[in-house]
Parts: sequence; C-alpha cells; structure tokens
Amino acid sequence: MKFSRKTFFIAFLFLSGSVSAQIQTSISNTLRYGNGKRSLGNTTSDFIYRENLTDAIFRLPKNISVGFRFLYDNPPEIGQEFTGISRRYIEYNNDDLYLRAGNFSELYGKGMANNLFENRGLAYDSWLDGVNVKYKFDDLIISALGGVMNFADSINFWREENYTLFGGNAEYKFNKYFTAGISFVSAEGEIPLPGTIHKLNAEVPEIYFNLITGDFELFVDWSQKWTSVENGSSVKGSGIYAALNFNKGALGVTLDYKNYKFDEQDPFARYDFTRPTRILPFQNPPIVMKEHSYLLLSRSIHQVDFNDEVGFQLEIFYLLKDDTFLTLNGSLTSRHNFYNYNSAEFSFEKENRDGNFLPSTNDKYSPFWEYLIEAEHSLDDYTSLNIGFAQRSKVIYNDISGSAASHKISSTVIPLLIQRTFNNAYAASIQYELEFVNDNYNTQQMKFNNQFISFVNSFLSVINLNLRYEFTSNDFEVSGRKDWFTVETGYRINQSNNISLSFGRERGGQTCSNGVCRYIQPFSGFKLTLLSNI
Amino acid sequence: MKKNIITGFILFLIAIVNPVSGQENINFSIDLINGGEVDFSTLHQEGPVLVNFWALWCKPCRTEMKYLKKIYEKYSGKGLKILGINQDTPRSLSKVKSFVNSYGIEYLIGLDPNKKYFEMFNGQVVPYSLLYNKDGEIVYQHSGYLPGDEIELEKEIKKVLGEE
Repeated sequence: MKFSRKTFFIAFLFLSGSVSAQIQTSISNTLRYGNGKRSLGNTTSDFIYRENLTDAIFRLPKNISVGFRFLYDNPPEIGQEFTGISRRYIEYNNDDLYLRAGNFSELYGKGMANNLFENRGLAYDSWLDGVNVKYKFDDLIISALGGVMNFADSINFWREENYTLFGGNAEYKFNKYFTAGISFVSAEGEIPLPGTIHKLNAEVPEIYFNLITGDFELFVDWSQKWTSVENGSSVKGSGIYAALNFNKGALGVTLDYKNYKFDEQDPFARYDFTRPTRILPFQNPPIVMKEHSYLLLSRSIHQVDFNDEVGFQLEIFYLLKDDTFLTLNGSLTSRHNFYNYNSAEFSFEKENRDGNFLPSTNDKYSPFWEYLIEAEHSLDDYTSLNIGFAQRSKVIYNDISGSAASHKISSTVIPLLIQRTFNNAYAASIQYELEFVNDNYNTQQMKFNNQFISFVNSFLSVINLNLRYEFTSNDFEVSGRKDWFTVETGYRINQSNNISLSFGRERGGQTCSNGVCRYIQPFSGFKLTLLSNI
Repeated sequence: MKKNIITGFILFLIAIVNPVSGQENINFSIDLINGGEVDFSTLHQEGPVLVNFWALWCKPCRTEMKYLKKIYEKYSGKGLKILGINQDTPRSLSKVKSFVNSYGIEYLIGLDPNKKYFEMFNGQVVPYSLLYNKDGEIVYQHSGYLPGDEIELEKEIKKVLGEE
C-alpha cells in the first residue's frame, strides 16, 4: 500500500519531461528561523530552530496533479527533526471522480470515525499514506481509503504509533431537506511502550444525518469504537454529537451537544496515556467549545477528553442594526460518572450518575464552564470597536484526596480591540486584554491578574510595526518573569512574499487545537519568518 | 542528509524550468453553505471573482469580512463575484451557517472542513485572498489582514472592473 518516494519521483520526472510545456506550477514556501533562549520552569537553555517547508504542486493536463512537500526541520520549533520529502502524491480530480495515491487528509461526517489532519503548530499529523478515492453519482457520494499512518504522539514524541487503516463512507442526499451517511473504519495498530509493543485491532462504524426544516437544521452523528488488544482487553465505547441550528433574519443560534464515552476508565487507567484502548489518532470529533481569538482567552483552556466527556455549547449571533454585531457563547462540560476511591484495596469503584447524558457542575465530575459576550461595533466606515466580557471555571478533581485537594481555577477576561484606518498611508489597531485569575494551586498568591497590550501600525499596507507587552502580577509565575515585551516588524515585499522579524520575550503557555493541547515553552530572542506563494 | 538536499534541489530546478503560474486556471466545484454548489470556471467567466479563505476563529478574517460585505454590496451590480471559502474544521463548523446568515453576508460561501481547497490553492495562512479577472488570471493576491488593506483591495477591484 505504501508507495516509495523513488517511484513517485521517477514517475513525476517522466511526466514532467514529456508534457513540460503544459505543466502549471504552484509553489508555497515557509522559512522560519529562531535564535535565542527557551525556558522550562527555572531552567533556561540556548535554542535555535531552522525550518523550511516547500509545498510544490504541478498541474498536468487531463486533471492530474502531482504534489511534493520538501521539509527541512533541523531542528523544528516543535516536534521531531526531519529533512527530506515528507509528502508526495499524484491526484486525478474531475467533477465525479477523485483519486489520490500518496499522502492525504480526509474527513468523514464530523470526524467521529475518521478525521485525518495536520496542525504544524502543535506537531500533530495524522495524514495517511495510501490511496483515497471518491465517486459522486448524482446525490450519492461514495468514498474509500486505505493506507498506513505513522503517528508521533504530540505529548510523548518517543511514542511513534503505526496503523494500517481501511475505511469507507457513503452519503446520500434524499432531497434538499434530508441527507444521511454511514462510515466504517478498520485499523490494525502498534503502540510502542518501553520494552513492549501493544498490538491492537479497532473497528469504528458511524452513522449520521442532517435534516433541514423551515428555519431549523439538525445534525446527529453516532459512532462506536471497538478496540481489541492482543493478549489484553477488548473495549467498546461510543460517542454522540448533535447540532441544532436556528436562523431567522439577523438572528443565528447554534446548540451543540457531545456525549463521548469512547473509553471511560477509572482514574488509574484514565491518566495512563499509553493505554491502547483510548480514542485513536484518526478520530477527531468536534470539541463543542468556543475557539477563542483573544490571546488570554485562548491560553490555558480546558483540554477535551474524548474518552469520557459530556457537554453542550450555545452560541447566539445577532446583527443589531447594520453597525453592531453581538455574539453570546456559553458552554458546560464534565465527566459522566464518579469513581469512589477505596484506600484499603487501592482501587476505584464506579458510581453511576443519574442523568449522566447531561453535564454536571459538581466538582466530583471535573466540570468546566465558560461564557463570553462580545460586541463588534463600527463607529464609522474606518473605525471599529470590539469589546467583550468572559468568565470561566475549571475543576480538575483529585480522585484520591477529594475536593479539598482538587485544582480549581477561574478567571474573568475583558478584551478590547480598536482599529482605525486614518488614510491610504496609515492604519492602526490597539488590543488590550485584562484577566483576573483565581488559582488555588498557586497557594501563596491565589489571586492575580494578567494583562496584554498590542499596538499595530500599518504603513501603506506594506510595512507594519507591532509592539506587544504582557504583564502578570503573579509573583510565583513558573517562568520566573513578570513581564514580556516583543517588537515585530513585517514587510510585504510584493504580493507573493512577506517577511517578518521579531525580537523579544514570549510568554508561551498551553495552546490547543482540535482537542489536542501542547505547552509552548517561553522563548526569548530573535525570530524570522518568510512566506512565499507563487 | 546530502541525498535529501540534492532531492530538494532537483525539485527546485523542476519548479523553475516549468512556468510558475501560481493558482491560475484552477477548476473545481465547491458545495455552498446554503445549498447547491458552484463551478469556479463558470463563476469567473461571468465576471471578476475574489476568492477569500477565512475562518470563524480568525479575528482578522472577520474584520476583513466586514469590508468584503461592503465591497460586495458596492460592486456586485458591476459584475464582481466573491467566493468565501470557510476553513473551520468540524469543531466549529456548525456555527458557520448561523454566523453567515446573521451577519447578512450575501456573497457565496463554500465549506472546506478538511482544507482540500486551501491545499489546492497552496494556502499558508488565513485570511488569504486572490482576485481573478474574467480570463481566470490572478491580478492580485494577499495573505493576512492588517487595518488599511481594504483600501488596497478596493483599488484593485476597481482596476479589474475597469473603473480606474
């Protein structure tokens, strides 16, 4: 199933030579370089990263494309070192048939059974190497894939997991109101542990539908995961995701619901991240939480546990006259059940919660909730103002010692953004964020605040200068610092090339995407980024 | 290591000996958020098209969209088409339709939850905009958004519509 790089390369050179005149080429290049110091706690060390990523697409006649990614990560800012061709594919794409051999991403339904994606910022990559085919026949779309995945765990890079995957999806549009689909993914995997390898088989079926009626739209997705570990346990788990939309005039409402029990385990097993029965890397269901764009709100957010989590999210959009847009978002999430600790036997006993199809605010279930109210207002054609107010609370329950030893953190955030275009030559924006934090694990100073200010100046839409300053009143900040200052300048060389340089200190922190979170270490020094797209 | 660098260099040579025509003459069909689908080649034959990649979680994208909405209201009567291609993944995809409808966006919005079209256009960051003339040639492209960029964009649109 795996295609050798050499085969692709020779095939491509052949094609390139014979139809050279008709080939159209598209190239994007990202060059990143950083030189400075990186810290973890009180330890600081010199750190240099050098990354160059070139994506080249060659469009041949007859709807055929060939693509390559040449990657130089030596070392990268995050992830493992790599130099060479990290992606290659050949693709045929016309109106009805899509066929690709090589590396590819794919999504079935809402990703409950299959969602292969890459996020370089988090060093997460679940692309497959194999064959992907899709055929559209009137209102029926049929897809099938097969291939191998070499997946490096984003938290423990030493854990390289290997999977062989086969899957299929069929989606049928019965009429303009009703669409339904089914998927099935089968996988064989090897998960390495120190001294041993877990071998597993997994099967993940999925069924979903979408119904549109009047101003309402309802989507429901159900999936089940069965995992069998060689010489080990066999675990069956499931997940439900649903979304209800209501749209009328200037009002838009979305209510999302999740009930993920792909591998509900007692706390001992839950925190064993090496267990092979947990959700698999080719599954990535919706997180049912707000994806924030303000810095302090996007940091230290709740990490979704797809193995055991129930919750909902409500988001309301409303256009109040033509110049003011309101957003209201609220979400609540928790674990399903509680596990009583038996200290004599050093074991847990499951205590089922009544109504565990809904989230709980009781600390025992490690709840997380947040809400955000935001207004975007245009003062005139050239000036806009955004202001928000958010509160959130997170509990990480200590299953052995109980509530008193649990980690409880809550915060209130007020973000403000003002932008003005003065004339053809100059525009500016100021962003200010203020956060009040209450963290019971910061025992000597439970209450503190964080502040962030950014001042962006744009000249002729060609040059920009950005000053960023961040401050904390936390005397026990893990990095040992209380403020961070960065100056960044960008220059648009032409429409295809942008360069930016920054110098200063960056605070780092937890960053999450698609339910995957990573701690980004504080960095102090110089950074260069050159983006090219031709 | 040496082998990899040589391979990269050969790729680079192939790229430069072939005509680099960027994202021109791309042909695709995309499903639209409010039903139906649109064929890109048909779209740009009807008039200049601005393709704009955006996402709900991207603040600069949403600021830019406010201006795109105004630009569309101003120039759609003169033949301008805008195709917004949303980059939200399934985690926030459910809200896109509500946002688009309540924000009063009248131009075409397509969905790209696994970045198939973004990859086809070789995109790197959002927002990413490309302005095509009637012949399918790119007359302007732009990555990112900073306040004031909307003035430059409107100037280019006027130019492609023959108003400047």
